[in-house]
Amino acid sequence: MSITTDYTVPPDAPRHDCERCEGTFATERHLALHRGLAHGDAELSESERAAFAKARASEEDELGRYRILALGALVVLYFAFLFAYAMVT
Amino acid sequence: MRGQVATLRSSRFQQLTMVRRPAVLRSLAPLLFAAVALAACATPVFAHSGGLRSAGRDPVSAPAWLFLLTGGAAVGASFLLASFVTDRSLINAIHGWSRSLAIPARLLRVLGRLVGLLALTSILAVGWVGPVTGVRNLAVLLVWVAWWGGVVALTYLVGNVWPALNPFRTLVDGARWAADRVGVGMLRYPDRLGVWPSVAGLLVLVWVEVTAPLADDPALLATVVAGYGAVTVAGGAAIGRTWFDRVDPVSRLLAAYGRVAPVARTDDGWSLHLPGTRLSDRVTVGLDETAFIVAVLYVTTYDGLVATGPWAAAVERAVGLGAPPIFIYSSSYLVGFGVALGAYLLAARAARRFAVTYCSPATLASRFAPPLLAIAAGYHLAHNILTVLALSPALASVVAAPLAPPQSPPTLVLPNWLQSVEIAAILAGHVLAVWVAHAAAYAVFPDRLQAVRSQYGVTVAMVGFTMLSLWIVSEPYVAPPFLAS
Ligand SMILES: [Zn+2]
Repeated sequence: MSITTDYTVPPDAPRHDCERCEGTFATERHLALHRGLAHGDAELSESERAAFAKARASEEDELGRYRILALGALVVLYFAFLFAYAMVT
Repeated sequence: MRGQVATLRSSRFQQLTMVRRPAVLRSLAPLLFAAVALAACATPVFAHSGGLRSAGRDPVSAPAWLFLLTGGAAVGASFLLASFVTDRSLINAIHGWSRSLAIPARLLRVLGRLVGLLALTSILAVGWVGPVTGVRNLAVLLVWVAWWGGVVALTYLVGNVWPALNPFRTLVDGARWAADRVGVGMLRYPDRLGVWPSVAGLLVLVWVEVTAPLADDPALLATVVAGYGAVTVAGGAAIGRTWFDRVDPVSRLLAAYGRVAPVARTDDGWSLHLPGTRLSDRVTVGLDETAFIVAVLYVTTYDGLVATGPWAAAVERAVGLGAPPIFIYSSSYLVGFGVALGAYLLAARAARRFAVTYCSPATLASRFAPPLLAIAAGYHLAHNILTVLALSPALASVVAAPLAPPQSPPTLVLPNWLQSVEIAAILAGHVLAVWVAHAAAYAVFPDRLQAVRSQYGVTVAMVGFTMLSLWIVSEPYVAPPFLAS
């Protein structure tokens, strides 16, 4: 991906810089995922590859929790409107 | 005369062919709810509502607030649904899908240029010397029905045909050819201006459209077209085709709409994409491009807003307090644009915090602006499709005899259910925008949680905007007070 993105980092903020491009990230996980996605498997060292897999797993876990919340929100929305329509019409 | 305008432009025409619309529109709210329900449980609830209707029950009219909330919820639900698609390769496959197309472009271009020049000549000639009644005048029908209704819709539904059709581009090409022969060079466009001139130009053009009776007065319409044409040809002769890429608001507007369309121009021909998927490409750069996209959405909304009852009441109250009408219209117009741009930039800035990213606010703003074009296209379709359908027989009969058209040209009487197409268009535009923004977020952020969270602010803004748009189309038409007619 040759997308050029400007980065502005607030002073004193924790930063994790990519060694291969000017990408800079707020967390270790973002950087590990960025390395794996933007720079590809072949380029990565053994430890970077391991970090990518670990970040992937932690991302998946969090996505799973997010999905449950999103599903809950959809169900609440559905029943709120079901109720509203039942009351109004 | 005022009654004739009602037959012509967008919301302005609804009195003639329609019964009062809010009741009809709100009776469709259960259908809208069915759409949300469909989203919520991903089961075909539509069959359910269809069953209700075929059972012969009268559609139940929901109150306005519930109708608007349902529309907003449909957009919010589509954000939640889109966030379930977390497979990067699936998103890339959808947005990267394309087929190359063989189009007889050369032939179409020659044809387009001829049609464009013929239409321009007709608009000027018939506008100045033809019948004075709007709906009987070819100039008015060509500009508002064929061009603003038809060509613009064709641009986002199929592909941008304006470069081939644009008569002013043909004239500029001719002028440049002649100038080159006698050795007159081109001026250089100052790059630091970016596309800001087109932002100002768009605001000015729509300002004229809203405040002057351009559907009412064919001679005035022809004069405005001639004035715009003179500026365009002079500018194009001075700086060449850069004029159409950077300055001309009309060409840039149609090019923006064209980015929604499935057919695209490539370096070596044409390609077919899924509708809207090209909006996730990174093309816009800088605040000027972002401001133009926001302006496209803003002017469409303002045009609808001034034709509502509460607007008329507010203007009358302000004039009662001693403010000159022209001041009220112009200041609210400009302040409104500032608020719209500010609100969008705030939503983009919120993405920086929610997603915990160091991407600059400008990068985020320019990445998430193009999806707004899908909303603008949906809104344009909602506003114009009924006008185009109803007046297409009038256009045909007036084209056949421009100088002696029938006393009252035929119009189509549209069935009421067609109004549901308006709601569907607005919602489809928003849902497409939500999806495209989701895909763009995946392209920007390495972490998928960042991609989801970056959309919180933008989604809230879109929900609010959906409700505003639905409110505007459901309000009965009220002529904007204090405007010349
Ligand atoms: Zn990098």
